[in-house]
Amino acid sequence: MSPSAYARLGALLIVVVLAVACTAAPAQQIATSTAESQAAAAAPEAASTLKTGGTLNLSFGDDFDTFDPFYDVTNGQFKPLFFEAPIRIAPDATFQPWLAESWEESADGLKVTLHLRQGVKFHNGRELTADDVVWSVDRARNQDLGHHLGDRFKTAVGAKALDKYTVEIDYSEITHSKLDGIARLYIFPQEAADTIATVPVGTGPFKFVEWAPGDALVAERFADYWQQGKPYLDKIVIKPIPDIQARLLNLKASSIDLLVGIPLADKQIVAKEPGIVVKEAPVGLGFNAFLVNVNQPPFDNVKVRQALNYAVDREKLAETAFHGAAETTQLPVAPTSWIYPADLANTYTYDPQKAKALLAEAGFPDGFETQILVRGTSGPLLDQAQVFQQDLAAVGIKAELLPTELPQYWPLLFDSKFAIVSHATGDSSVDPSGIFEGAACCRPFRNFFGIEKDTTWFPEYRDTIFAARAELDKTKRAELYHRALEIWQEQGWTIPTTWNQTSYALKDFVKDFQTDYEGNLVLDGTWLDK
Amino acid sequence: MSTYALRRIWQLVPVLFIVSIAVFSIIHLIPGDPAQIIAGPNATDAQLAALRQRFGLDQPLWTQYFMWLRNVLSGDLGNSYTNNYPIAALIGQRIPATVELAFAALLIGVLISFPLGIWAAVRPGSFADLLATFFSAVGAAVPAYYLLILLIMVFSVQWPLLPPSGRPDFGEDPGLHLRSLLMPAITLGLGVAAALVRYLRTSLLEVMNQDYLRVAKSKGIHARLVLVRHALPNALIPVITILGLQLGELLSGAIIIESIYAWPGVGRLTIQAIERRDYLLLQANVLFIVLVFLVVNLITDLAYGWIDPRIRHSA
Repeated sequence: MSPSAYARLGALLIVVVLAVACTAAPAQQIATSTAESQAAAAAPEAASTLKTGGTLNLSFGDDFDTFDPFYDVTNGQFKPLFFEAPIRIAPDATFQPWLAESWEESADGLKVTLHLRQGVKFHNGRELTADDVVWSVDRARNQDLGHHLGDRFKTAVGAKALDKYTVEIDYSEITHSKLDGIARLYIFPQEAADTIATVPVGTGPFKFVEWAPGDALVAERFADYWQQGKPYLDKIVIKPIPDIQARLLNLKASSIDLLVGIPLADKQIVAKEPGIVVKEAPVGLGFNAFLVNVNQPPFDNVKVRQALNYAVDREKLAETAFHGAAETTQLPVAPTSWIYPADLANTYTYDPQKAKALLAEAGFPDGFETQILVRGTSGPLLDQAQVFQQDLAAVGIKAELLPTELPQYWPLLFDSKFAIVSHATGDSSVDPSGIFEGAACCRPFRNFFGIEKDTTWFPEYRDTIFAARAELDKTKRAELYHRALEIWQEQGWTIPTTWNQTSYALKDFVKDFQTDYEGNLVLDGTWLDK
Repeated sequence: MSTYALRRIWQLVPVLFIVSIAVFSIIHLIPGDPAQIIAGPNATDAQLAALRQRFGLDQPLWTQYFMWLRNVLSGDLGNSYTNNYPIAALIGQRIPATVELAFAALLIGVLISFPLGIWAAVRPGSFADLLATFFSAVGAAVPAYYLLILLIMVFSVQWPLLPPSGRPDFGEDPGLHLRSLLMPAITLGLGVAAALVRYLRTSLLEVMNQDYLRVAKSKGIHARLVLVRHALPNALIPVITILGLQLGELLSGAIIIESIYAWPGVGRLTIQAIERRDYLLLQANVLFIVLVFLVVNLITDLAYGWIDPRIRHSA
């Protein structure tokens, strides 16, 4: 072949590649084929019976930081694959027996007795006993390790084994969130403690095979799993694919079967893809918000904070910043919670005129200039800050946006070096005490405003929450929390915007995919219909 | 030659020492606290203090530096803050992937650029020259991440011929491994080729106009021989420099390509270390990258002498 023939061939190849690329995503064509394939798949799906075996390939995006289940870090949703706790929280926010067959709480609220299931084995072959739970409680109480269970077990004074399968955990004061803590107490054998960060060993349905950092985590079916016959899958492979577009292409190309976390902007497009199903975690586990620094003028004036609450147009924000894929909220508690105050759900309707009037009352008729610190440099928290910036401009407040990389962001937040912050917050505890004592948005101490050091701030709010903590009567607690939420809204330092929901995209042959209450992956009942 | 090489290697020692101070200082100047990142938003002061103590971050900076230097000199790069994994093992696992991708990309780059660059230079103004110039401009202008996404869409989604991500074990399936290498290597290789074509064409055109080549041609030496024996070695010096720089960059890790293709190389590890402020891991990674550049530069300098004896003698 002559050189010029090579050149022509090369040019032709470039044209072919570009032409194919241009036709690779014809929206109309895909939409049509989606409808057809889903309709076709519907009939056999109903009649299909459970099949065992197969490998599930999934991706969270980033790689793992650590497998130590006491830390809530990147990809924390993997935990139930390897680890289990004495109690599990079902998606409907009820506590289920798990490694413990049953439990009792003492009348004074200071004690929980767990009755462990017999014959449960760790992946290393040893049987789980009460000593393992006692050791785990001691580790959870150890604040020196810097893990995330410290807060949940700070009132636990210790645990003791009453016999081989019975454990008693004692608390120094009434702790309503005892079961929330125990449901996150993932038990692992103490002999594995030194290597648990890189080699997960628990009692879960899947057993660790290997982890090649940056490449893949491989887990296989645990043959001695205490739920006989489960799990149904033979193998799970978790691949880190950091780029979201590449992740979506991998799903389309069937390199992965399940993808955790889809950007809101892509959700509707992905849902139209043939053979792909999109699922969502329930609302209530966390929300997006603006936090206003009550220690920084002019936000130390309650009227200014209330003006900001009236200035935000949540509907517009949900439509634009969240691509119409998020539910709005004005409260930090989910509608499913037993303390949900329906009467407070619409306290701040969008009202720029009222906002202006409040600003004038506060002495700022012409507005002022401020800054909005943004968690991260892209994504919905920046988008919502941009929409809020426009809302604030409409009432005369000129806000500058400060998108900030996470490692720089945290110190600014914790040192109270911000005026307004665009943040995601909330708490996933079943008991409402979690939101008032665990989430930085709502707790009257150790939050982002240094309030721990200044006990004069919102004393009624703090006292109400502490009264609810000491109260055993559920009705009285509900009344106290209602009052706390009234104060919380009136003071207006947290401006909730929308619920934060994780989305999952999976191939339609992945059946019975489940997450628990916190959005952790529960794959012991998952199977592949192929 | 060997004396020259030894002297150059010896010179690497003070350079590496100065670089180690610079790397350590710059990394600790970046705002952010690894303990805060690991402990998260709900961490108490006690939890943060415990983590800082565990990582040695509660020590004065100069103490941290000398402890790190002492450990590095004794061959201990330390453990990652986030997962306690030995850093030497973490980097060691990633090097083969990065080296493989770098050399595959370089090979593709050379295989494309040399014929095209020479062809364009010997026929200036021809269709070949136009094609080379066009290729060079397009290759430099099209972002690698876009090209790779395009290739994945075509060759993995539309026509499922190649895997869309990952680096399967060569021992388990050599064919799949090589197919996985193809798209990221082509993406990077086209970028390398685009740069090389431009330099090779320009350099060769310059040399071809030299008097000694006209003399060689007028003596009746075959044009191909003139090109291969006389023109090309002289034209290669700037090309070798570019080749060395490209190889250095590729061996430092193609961060974006590795992220898109989930290629477990050094580049992705560096990004993770930056995001998590995993100082020890980041220091080791940056030091590795600097070392790679220094070694590649050394090899490039030695290659000059091999190609052009005048450089060897003057050295």
